[in-house]
Amino acid sequence: MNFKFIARQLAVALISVSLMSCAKAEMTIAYITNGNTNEGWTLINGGAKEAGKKAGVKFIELAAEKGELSKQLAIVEDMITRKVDAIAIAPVDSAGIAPAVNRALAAGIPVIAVDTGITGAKITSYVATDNIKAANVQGEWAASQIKDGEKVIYVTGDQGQSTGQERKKGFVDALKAKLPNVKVIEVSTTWDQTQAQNGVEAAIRANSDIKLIACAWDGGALGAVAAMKGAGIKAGDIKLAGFDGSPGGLDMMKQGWQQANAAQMLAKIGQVGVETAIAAAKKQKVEARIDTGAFLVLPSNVDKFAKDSGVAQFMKEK
Amino acid sequence: MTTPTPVLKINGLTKHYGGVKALTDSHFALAQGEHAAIVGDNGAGKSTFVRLITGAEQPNSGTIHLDGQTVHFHSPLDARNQGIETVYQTLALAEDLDVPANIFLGREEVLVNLGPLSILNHKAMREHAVSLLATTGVKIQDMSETLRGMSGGQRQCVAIARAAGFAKKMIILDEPTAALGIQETARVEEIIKGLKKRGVPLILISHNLRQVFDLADRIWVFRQGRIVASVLTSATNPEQIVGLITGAVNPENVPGATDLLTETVLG
Amino acid sequence: MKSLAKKEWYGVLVATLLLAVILSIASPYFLNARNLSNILVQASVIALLAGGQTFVILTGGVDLAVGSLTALCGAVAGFMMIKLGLNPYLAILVAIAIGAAVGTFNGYLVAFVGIPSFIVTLGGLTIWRGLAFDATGGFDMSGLPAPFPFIGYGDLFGLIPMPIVVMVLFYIVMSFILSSTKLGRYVYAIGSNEMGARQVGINIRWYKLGVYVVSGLCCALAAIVLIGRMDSSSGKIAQMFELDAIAAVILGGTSLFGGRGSIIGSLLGAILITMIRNGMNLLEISQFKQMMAIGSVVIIAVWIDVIRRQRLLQK
Repeated sequence: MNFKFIARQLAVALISVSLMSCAKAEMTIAYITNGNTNEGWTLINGGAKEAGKKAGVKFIELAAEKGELSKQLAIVEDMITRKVDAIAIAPVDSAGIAPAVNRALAAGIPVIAVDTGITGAKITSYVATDNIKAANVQGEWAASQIKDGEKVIYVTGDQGQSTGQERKKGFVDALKAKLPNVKVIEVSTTWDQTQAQNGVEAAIRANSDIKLIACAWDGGALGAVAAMKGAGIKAGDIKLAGFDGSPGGLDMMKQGWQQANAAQMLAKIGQVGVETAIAAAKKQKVEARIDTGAFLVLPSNVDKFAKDSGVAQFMKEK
Repeated sequence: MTTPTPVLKINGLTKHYGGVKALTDSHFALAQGEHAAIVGDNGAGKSTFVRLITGAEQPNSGTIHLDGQTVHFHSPLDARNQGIETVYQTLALAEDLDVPANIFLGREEVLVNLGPLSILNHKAMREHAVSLLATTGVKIQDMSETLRGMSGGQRQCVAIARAAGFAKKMIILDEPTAALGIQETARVEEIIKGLKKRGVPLILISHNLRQVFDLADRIWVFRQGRIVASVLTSATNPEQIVGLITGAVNPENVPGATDLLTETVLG
Repeated sequence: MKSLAKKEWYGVLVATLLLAVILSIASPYFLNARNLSNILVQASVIALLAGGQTFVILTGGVDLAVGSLTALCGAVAGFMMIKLGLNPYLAILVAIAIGAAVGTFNGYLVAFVGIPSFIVTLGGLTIWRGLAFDATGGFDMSGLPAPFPFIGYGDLFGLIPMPIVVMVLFYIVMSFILSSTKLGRYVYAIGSNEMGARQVGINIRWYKLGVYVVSGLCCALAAIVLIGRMDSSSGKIAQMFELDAIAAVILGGTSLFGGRGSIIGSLLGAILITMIRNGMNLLEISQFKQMMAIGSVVIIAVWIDVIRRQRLLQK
């Protein structure tokens, strides 16, 4: 075998490949997810992919295996090497990803945080649901369903996290603004469905006159429904407001358990995240904080919402 | 008395496991430079005897004297430190280490003593290994090769060379050729004959009577947990030994066979 | 050339070079100083864990708890600096003490009590992860004080990334310990023939305990580099790192059955695994395919080990 010959062939191949990639000056966007594979993230990622396809850019989707921060760090570093034009990222950890993000920014690559914010880095933009505004919608709906002075249960998320804090604040503020004397019984959870079920069970037993239950997330609403069933309460006897617009939440609505749901625009989060990344790569000015909004799903519009948002594909109740 | 002190003298060694009398009131002696063979049927007490004199177990009663000194072995390591090197059937070699590493296994020469992190003196160990193998007559082509690439006979030779190199008093070989072919057996026997020339005292445990007659000066016969006879190889024959092993021959009828089987007070 | 081919790490060297050539052709972004330096930095934490793991596997054991122990060391060190304001150098000492203590605990159970290392460290896998969360209240700690940012992403003399410096120094030391100290020699002896090692008078219990302490110390060192690299710490770091570390050791030609292998192979193994991930990232291969690829590589490496062992036994 002629070693020189092979070496020359290799060199030619190398050069031609690198020339080819230089010639194609198409825009490359890296979309780096946190490796979550649940329905919500499938919708967000689907929206992102769709936006990439629509804009005709080269769209690289990579994920941190098992939600491992150091692997996401490595991916960001590899994407800097890959010389992508912009990065849209759903960080595994708001703080831990900062060193790699700062390197990307230093290399002139705009970084857009999707759904979860980043601390410790001056990112180009943060695209996510404004939890306070979305919870305001939930609280206003609750206010329209009951009279002042009545009792409601609120199932919280983790109060050690900004998401949990904001959702509670948004709901309670909006509700109290309309009905200042309403009594809110809190069921504290750390995003745990069983905690929600146990807490709601206890609250119903202690208070016979509950008019409405609102939850910080749809998993909590599932727990609340289980508690109501256990207490012999029929669907609709106590009104229930979910949050997320998840397939499970909308199923509950179709079954008559839920009367309202403050739905996040999941696909839109991914879509706007990537659109913002593309805009930033084109050196257009982008907002530092973009709210993708919330939508109040009611039994009257649940079918249309499910279809438009893409949630329908994951629902049991068609 | 002008008889020189034996290297190893054993008086009344006894080991009972509950009701099982593995070894009872056994007397034994190994002279300077002598090669002795231990023969007997399975369960005759050979293994127990070896375990007691290598420190693997402690006797119920009886004494062991090494070069005239009364000794007690609390562990195999203890026995080894006091001068008895044993080559077990399992050889105690590390197949993945090379020859010098195996020869010095457990007693490495070090440049700096830092406990477990002591720095090894590779050069010294290699040189000593070469000369040690040369004196024992063991030929190894590539010293840096691991034992995995070597035959059973070569490994046995390395193990014997190691024992010979470090034995301050004597060597015990437990069935050294049981797993070997004819040629390899011959090679190992040559090494053992070499030790005889060098005057290294040795106890050989073997089932192979041809080998025993080839190699040993004296044969000790074990039967039913006792040492029943001790005869010079030159004064006996295989038929007689087989008779002693099976009990067909009464030791009282063999001249001198029971002379050494009594208590001796050492001077 | 023949003697080179006989080295355990020859295979992984060839595989690494081959993969480098393939990736150079497949991606225009692979072959440049920046990316190669990135690969070494990314390999550093796994390489540190693989170093300790090599000792354990050479004795015929395995340490499944290295990821969790790394998390425990990192989380506690981070917690003490951020929440309790402890001096960072003292926090490093605390991490090392935790690594040594857990290593001693594992080693005691394996060597003195006689529980198989697989079980001790499988239990430890969840114990230390749980303790990491429990001891730190599940907090994320970010913005570590000096010298952590320097260790994690600083450059020595403005030139060589610190994780690479740490990794290289570590391998020089470990390589020396394995080849030229009693501990290193006995590690091989115990893995080759544990009973024989005992018969020649090696105190195998203490030396077996020792290898788990070495592995624990490596976890502490890996934790220091890892939290520096992320400039943050929490109980959830280093998930599943044991898989990568064990894979690196096996890829490096060290036998899962003990006794045979080399430390340099583990370094090459860690680089190879990282290069596979880096290459797949550059070639835009999805996480699911990456997971399948890494798992397959591990099985193939063990497969090769089993075949090699059968060949050796046939001799």
